[in-house]
Amino acid sequence: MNLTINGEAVEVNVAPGDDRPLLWVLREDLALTGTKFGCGVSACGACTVLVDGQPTRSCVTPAATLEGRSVTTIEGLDTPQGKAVQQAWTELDVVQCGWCQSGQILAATALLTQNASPTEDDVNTSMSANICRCATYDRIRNAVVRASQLVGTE
Amino acid sequence: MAETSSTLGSPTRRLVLQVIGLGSAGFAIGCVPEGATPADDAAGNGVSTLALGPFVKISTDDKVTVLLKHIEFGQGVSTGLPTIVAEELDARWDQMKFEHAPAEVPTYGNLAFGGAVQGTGGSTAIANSWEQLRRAGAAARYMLVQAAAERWGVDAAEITVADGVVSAGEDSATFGELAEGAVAIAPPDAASLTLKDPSTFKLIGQEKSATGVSARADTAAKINGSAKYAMDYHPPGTLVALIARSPKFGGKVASFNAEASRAIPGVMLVRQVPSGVAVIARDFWAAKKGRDAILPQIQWNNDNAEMRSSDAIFEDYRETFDVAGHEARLEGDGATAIGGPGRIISADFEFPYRSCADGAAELRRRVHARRILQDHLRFADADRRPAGRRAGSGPPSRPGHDRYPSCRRILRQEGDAQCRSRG
Ligand code: FES
Ligand code: FES
Repeated sequence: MNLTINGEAVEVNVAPGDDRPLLWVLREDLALTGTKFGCGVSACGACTVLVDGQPTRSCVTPAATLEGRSVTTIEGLDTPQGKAVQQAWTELDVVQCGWCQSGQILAATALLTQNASPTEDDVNTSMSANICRCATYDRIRNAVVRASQLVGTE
Repeated sequence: MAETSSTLGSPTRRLVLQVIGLGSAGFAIGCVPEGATPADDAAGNGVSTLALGPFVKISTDDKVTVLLKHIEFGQGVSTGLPTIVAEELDARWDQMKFEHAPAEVPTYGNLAFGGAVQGTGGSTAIANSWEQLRRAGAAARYMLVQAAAERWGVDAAEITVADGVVSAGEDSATFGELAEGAVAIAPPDAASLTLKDPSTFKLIGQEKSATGVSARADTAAKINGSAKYAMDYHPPGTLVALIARSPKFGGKVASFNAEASRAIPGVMLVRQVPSGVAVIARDFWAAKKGRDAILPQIQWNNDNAEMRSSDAIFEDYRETFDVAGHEARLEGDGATAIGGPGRIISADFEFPYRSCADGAAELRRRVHARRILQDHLRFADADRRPAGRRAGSGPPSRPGHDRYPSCRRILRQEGDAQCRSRG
């Protein structure tokens, strides 16, 4: 079947009804390893990608259910919001080990796309299920707010 | 499924058994063609990269690469260690790069651990590398200066180095231009070199100067998905092994029936290992289904297992508060002070016993058919010897690389078999 990944139609070897999650199609078949595996049970957010702009946990989303949908991974993030998030992450030195950060960045991008000027509370509410074992939360919060300013000035 | 059995190469049964015998957590076994080790980034583009000692490499494109003997797992050594080298070398920060050093002691041993162990931990990275890397930077600088002196026919004392440029009078050259000459210079006795007076430091101890850039050397790769972690190393034919472990700490396999697991498409081998039953498959999802299928088919021997509940364990801990403790150090009179006037603040902090709680970041190890360990452990050397023993030969090499440890610590918690960190 075909999937649309980062704007391109990609032929993947997935049969209808197959339960293999998108995460492993991305990582193992397509070598898009920017999407990370943390828990495999939708509990951490490390595997977050965007499906039609919505943050989606690829570890529990069978690839076979995504025909005709548009998947964005960290490698293909190029919206103004996404770029602003990456810039804010750079300015504020958010990353530590980095393992959770692809998921954080995509979740933050989705938030900013829906809410152009989120408050710190908005960030807490919409991103608290993206876990960071290095505990970069404080910087994430500040960086999302910073990113909203960057989008506003562009 | 994308992989078919014909692309899997032919891992010998013996190799597979040797590898799983390591008793690790999740790991993978790759079978790649000869020569498919990660290439030096300089290969094939006309740039040569020359080593000036074990810690510093200078490329003809004017990049300076520092070999990290410690792993970068968020604490910042990929920034801190190159800063030390850049300072004594008088390099520009924007020409600095880093890569992880191969597993090799004593060259890359942690001096705080006696030098015989290559390990990252205990907040030792900067402290034990400080003098060593200052001298490594100063030695590389010496070699560049000598190369310039030879090229220009001037006395080394007339040469200055600043911001990555070597100059004397009208002459000047970049590090990259001098690299090939410098590599021919006999390295100096590092102990004899004079290091900078800290009051002249330009990089060490300085805040980042520009906004819009990251102070961290690893930020750029970690925000666009290009940073490669050990778990991202997945050449064609890589097999994935997951281990079904005892739900009780200390439980051992008594017996198991592998039939259901073997019936899962993609499962290649089911095998008892010291820590449980390993399921080896052509990809993660097949391995995961194979492991799910075997779990109910294992009978555990719990003779030496922890059988208390978490509540019972906490109760036991609480009771130990009433037992007189071992006196490690005595200063003043605590009992009187606590009984005296003033405010007593009291709180209980209880943390459940969980796998993965110790901050160790790595969990994937990869073994080529050629037996090259592609792991990324805090103790880079630690798995080489047991791997060699199992294979009945010397330890496999663990080459240097550009990967980060896979931070599986972020989530796996109790009940999960994959995240028993050995770090
Ligand atoms: S890996 Fe998908 S939520 Fe944790
Ligand atoms: S940066 Fe390490 S888990 Fe978030």
